[in-house]
Amino acid sequence: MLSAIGAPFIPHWNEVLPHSGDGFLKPFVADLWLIVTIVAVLITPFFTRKSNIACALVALAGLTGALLCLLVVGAGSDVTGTHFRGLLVIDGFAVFWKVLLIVFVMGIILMWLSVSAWGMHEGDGPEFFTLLLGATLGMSLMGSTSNLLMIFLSVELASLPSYVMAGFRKTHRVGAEASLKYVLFGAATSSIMVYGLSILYGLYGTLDIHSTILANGTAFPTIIPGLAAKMAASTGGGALLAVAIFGLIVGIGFKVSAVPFHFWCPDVFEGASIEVSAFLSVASKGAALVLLLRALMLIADAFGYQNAPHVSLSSIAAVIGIIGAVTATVGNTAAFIQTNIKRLLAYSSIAHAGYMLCALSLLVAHNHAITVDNLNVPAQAILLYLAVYMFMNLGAFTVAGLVARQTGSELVSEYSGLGRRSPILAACMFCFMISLIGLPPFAGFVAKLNLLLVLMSNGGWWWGLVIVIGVNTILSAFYYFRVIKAMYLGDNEEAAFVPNPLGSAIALCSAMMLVLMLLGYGPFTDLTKKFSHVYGVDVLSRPVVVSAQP
Amino acid sequence: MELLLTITIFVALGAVFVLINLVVGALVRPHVPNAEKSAVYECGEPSIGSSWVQFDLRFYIVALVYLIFDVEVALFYPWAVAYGNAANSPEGAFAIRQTALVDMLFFFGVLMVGFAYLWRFGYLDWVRSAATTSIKADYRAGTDLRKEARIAP
Amino acid sequence: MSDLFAFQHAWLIPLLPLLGALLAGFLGARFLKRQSHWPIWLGVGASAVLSFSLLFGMLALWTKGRESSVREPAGKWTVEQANLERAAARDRGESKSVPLARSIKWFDWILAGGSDASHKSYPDNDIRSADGTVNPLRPFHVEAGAWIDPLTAVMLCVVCGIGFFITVFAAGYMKGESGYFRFFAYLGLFLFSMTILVMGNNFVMLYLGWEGVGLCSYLLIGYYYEKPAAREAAKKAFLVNRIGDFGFGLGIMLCFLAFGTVSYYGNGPHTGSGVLDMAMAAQLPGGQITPFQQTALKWIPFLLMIGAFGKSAQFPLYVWLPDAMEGPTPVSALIHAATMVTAGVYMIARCSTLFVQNEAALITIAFVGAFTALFAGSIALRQFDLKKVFAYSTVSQLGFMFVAVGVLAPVAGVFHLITHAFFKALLFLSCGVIMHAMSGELDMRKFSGLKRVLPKTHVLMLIGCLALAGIFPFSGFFSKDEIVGAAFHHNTLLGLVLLFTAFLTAYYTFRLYFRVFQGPEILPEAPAHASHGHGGDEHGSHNHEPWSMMLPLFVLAIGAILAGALNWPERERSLGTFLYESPSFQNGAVIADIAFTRLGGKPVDLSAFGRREADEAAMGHEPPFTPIMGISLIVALCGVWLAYRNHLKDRAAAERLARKLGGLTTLLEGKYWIDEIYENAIVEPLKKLGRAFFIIDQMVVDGVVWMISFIPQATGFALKLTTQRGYLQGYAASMLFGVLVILLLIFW
Repeated sequence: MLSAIGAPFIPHWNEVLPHSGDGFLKPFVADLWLIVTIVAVLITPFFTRKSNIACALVALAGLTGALLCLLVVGAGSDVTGTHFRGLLVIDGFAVFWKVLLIVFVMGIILMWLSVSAWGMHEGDGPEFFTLLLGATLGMSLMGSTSNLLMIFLSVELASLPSYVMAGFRKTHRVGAEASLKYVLFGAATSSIMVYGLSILYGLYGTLDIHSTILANGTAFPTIIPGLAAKMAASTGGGALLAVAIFGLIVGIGFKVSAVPFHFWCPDVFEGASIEVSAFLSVASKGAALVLLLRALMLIADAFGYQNAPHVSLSSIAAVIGIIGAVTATVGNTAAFIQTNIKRLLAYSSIAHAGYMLCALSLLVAHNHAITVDNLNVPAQAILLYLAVYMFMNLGAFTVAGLVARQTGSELVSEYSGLGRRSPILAACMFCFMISLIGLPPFAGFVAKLNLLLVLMSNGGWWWGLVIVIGVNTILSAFYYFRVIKAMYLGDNEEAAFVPNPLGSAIALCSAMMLVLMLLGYGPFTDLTKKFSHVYGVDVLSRPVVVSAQP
Repeated sequence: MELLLTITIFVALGAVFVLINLVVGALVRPHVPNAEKSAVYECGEPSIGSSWVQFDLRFYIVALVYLIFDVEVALFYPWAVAYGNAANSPEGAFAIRQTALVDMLFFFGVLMVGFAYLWRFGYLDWVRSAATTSIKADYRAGTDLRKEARIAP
Repeated sequence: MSDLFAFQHAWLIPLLPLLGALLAGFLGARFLKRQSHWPIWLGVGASAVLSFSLLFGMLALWTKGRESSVREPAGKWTVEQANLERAAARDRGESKSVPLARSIKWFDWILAGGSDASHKSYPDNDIRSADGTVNPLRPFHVEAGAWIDPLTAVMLCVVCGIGFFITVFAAGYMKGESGYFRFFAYLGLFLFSMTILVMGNNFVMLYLGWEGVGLCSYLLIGYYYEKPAAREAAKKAFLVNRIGDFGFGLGIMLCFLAFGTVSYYGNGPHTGSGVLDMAMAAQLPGGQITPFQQTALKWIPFLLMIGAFGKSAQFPLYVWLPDAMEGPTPVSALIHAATMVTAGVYMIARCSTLFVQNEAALITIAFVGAFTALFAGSIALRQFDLKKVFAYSTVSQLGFMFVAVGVLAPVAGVFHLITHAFFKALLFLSCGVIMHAMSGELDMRKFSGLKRVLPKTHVLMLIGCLALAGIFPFSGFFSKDEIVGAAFHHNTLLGLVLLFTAFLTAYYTFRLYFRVFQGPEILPEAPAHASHGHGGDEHGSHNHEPWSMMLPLFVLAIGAILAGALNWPERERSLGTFLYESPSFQNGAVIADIAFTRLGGKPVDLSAFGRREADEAAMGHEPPFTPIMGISLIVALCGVWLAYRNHLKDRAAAERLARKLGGLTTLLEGKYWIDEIYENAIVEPLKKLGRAFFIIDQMVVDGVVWMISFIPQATGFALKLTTQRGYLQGYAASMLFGVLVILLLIFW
């Protein structure tokens, strides 16, 4: 019996042998590089006394290597497809996400160098970077899997280091408390998720969500119906199926910090050191969104974007849409009263996750025909949003860290007079705040506009989401402008200061990117479009299932 | 809606089933408590003190290291079985075994690096010197680190 | 056509000045310093070379293509339209010519919305669905691209060619000024914007250039920002232009709403995929057009016109241009005489398809133009500042151009635009030389008889004045005459007004000439030196006419003399017939013909659109020299004679005349008190209104804002106190509650 379960996952010999597979590891060179980098980071302290800085540099070098590998893979389109019998999948969407993630983590390490490196105890660096890179690896895998087992593994690989990082400041009580909360909630939601996944497996007897998996061993080129296909084909199990998908939504919702699983977010962001907060705000949420998007798109695709008698896609979409709308609203209203900049940004990130969840609710073709172009619209909207959001948050957190380092406090009131004390930081922060609201002339506007247009073009009740996002944008303007108001209108007698040059450089580069992305609206939209193809989402061109293999 | 009703009935039935059993037990069993009977069952040993005590963190480190190597051995077993059978494969048994060995050596090597790290930087020492702990900067002789840890710096 | 280097590399034309501007702007202060003009010289020079190669390449193709090659009406034309097109070609009595117009796409600039948003390419003809209505889910698609046709080529040559010579002049003129690099960086940026303006293949590109030149104009007028007058003038120019640009922006939005695109011609003329093509359908038999588009076509020309009035300084919005003379003189020559202010004329010529089918808009343009010409010309009579005289003269000449495009003679408008660019740039730069020599003094009452001190400038200025006054055979004569002729053809009143204005023009031009260069030699006293950066001592030995400044003037003077030959009426291949190859003119002619024939008015003179009347006797009907030419020459000579009498022979006579016409003189010297009227009738009430609004803002708007912010704030507090209290148990309970709600939702 054990062998029956295990059989699909012990790769066929032909795939194992290096000479027979056509570069089966090639699409995952970046992930392999991350593993190598982790080992290298662990070895580094054996050779140097300044292990913190050395590890940061090693990690940066490793990430650069991974990025280069990815760009090579991303340039070639021959690798798209499932690998390792469906355990991992690579496609434009995954590659784009990985590029974003790695660039972002590089930014985080630079931010650490400029903001927190001075405060970290010598000797903690290797552990910190091992955890950071481990989480990065998990998030990278989250973006390129549609296998239930791999989903769980990668989510845990991303989560466990995150828990530790949240409490990494060992003598910081708030951090320890936040870390504990994070662990407990994570464990609870993970268990719900694994429950849901196990039901899925029980119902359909396969772990692979893909409608069809091409087992690409040369000896047996067979097409196996996957979970989504079986789901579409069979008619029973409505209630169980709903529970299973609910489990998936809960597990991912926790990572995304969707309401009502968002409670950890402000506490952790406040307690963790600032680069960890920044990391979690984008990477963790982004990875979870990417994962959920892939899973749901594959399922929706198998149903042809229409409701089936036993599965109502529109109710799943509605649940996600409602969660998104509520998340955005709660995030924005709660951010109103925050006085701590990190908590404010935490609620802001909850709100933005809500916006992106709204895009995820486009599972049902409502108002338009299913064309090749329409299929990937939510993926494109989320990729563009993430790409923009990444720079906004990286910059905003960097400025927050630099200011906190200067003033020793994280209160918004410390920003008063920043326009005079450090014009560069204030100008950058201005860009980020405006961009976070979603106003031109910064790229946040483009991302939000794109999202809204995508929702509008679907019509129907998605207009409700458009209205909610619109109202939320107005609400969010209040608290973002509070920071701007403090910076430029607030009085403060304190002396001007020169921020850390590296930190200023990160902030400036991020601000520049925001401006650039607005100017290059067309090219950037095209780029995300080009990379928004989710492998397996091809209802129009799917081959007929040839044979079923038990 | 019908589905919801089914589930509600199911959940209600489950809850009622548990409740009925508890109620029946409470009604049927005799109620004769004594000190021996209400003591905590601790594998036959008499219990000492409260069970709500803080364990030393060092236990966990050792336990974690143990767990990792335990899992490693658990992985070695199916690996050995699966690739051992490869000897019967017609297509190049040696090459398969070679690949398998290199794979496992890589896996083992990664574990070893972690282990070396733990060893070298004192995580396995029962009594860690201040030189290898990360809170050395805050440590002053005579301070209670546990108390310190509760105060935000 | 596509293999021509200049077509392939048209993108270099705007890019090179921009590169130059960036180099000068970023390296100028630190490294280039006194050499900051080099990047601009090189960039603009290369652009000028490219522009001319573009023009000549096009001319060669034109010459070659006339005899060969038949163009088939392609795309979505209906049969009737195709027949019509053939008929029109037969009318022309020629074998069909090679289309010289083409759209060059650089990249997709903006692509937003739309149901088919993820198309690989975005062909503009997708904006129409099968039944010809505009697809409601169309994307807002703007490509960065060029529309290359004869009009563009001619405009590019004017902009880059004259721009280049003015930058050469400016290097000599601005020598020693502080912020030298800044001046050239702005200049480069201006030329970038201006080339984008004339090259763009859609309204948004046009708007980009439009706003870009507005910005540069603002920056350059305020170049001497220490001077309060310059600051005020810059602000005034910017604000007045905003009024126009507001209308212009609305017009573009309306274009998009009605036609679903902002491109002029989409994929090409006659594919029915651009605004100007679709607008044609309103008049063509069998054209598909919705009622909304019909209505939009009534409004779009008026909205665009407001923009043109602002930028080209027409009557209600002209007030900024005279004040703009606070900027350095090369700027006045380049921006406020030769190029930027003619953008409105260019735009109307480009969109003549839209304008010619709207008679009300045409009448408005023509009459506003004529009124402005007369009005500004009369103010110029009593101005004493040299640059102010020419500023009002520019407003007046722009009025001429507007009349031209308003009376269905866009060729004459563009022709006058070109000749005016030459001679007005020449006149302004000559003013610059005089200003240089007179140490910044420009009041013509302070000096006289400069022909000995500035002999070369004297000759050049005389050429410029003759051209401006419209004396045969200088260029101004031909272009002005064509406009006057077209105006008479259209409406006698307009013609008379223009003829009288031509008289005024000749008078004030030669009043200036006779006062400044002839008569007894009077030089102003030396003191005002410091203002212009020269040491007072070296002034005496200083060469007032250095070659770096004179050379551009000579080139411009040659242009001012010869540019009239461009549109010699007798010639087979003139400016007009060349411009007729541009779909803007061609379509304009077709539409004008149809629209005005339908209205039953006078037949439209299609030669004014550049159509060659070969078959009919039209050619014979129109002799090269019409009676109007003679009349206008006589009128101009009368003006010159009067100026000679009043300002050279007996200078006191002018003052006597002025005293005799006391009221009129005061009126003219006060410039009709337009500025004061605006101040009291518009600015002050607006300020009062602003104060009122401020109170309302404080009471009502802020109150509402406070209310709006109060609700989420309260909610936030409630959330914080109920759910986010920091207790794990509370979190767990809230989460459980949420989970139950979600489960309920799922099973609903």
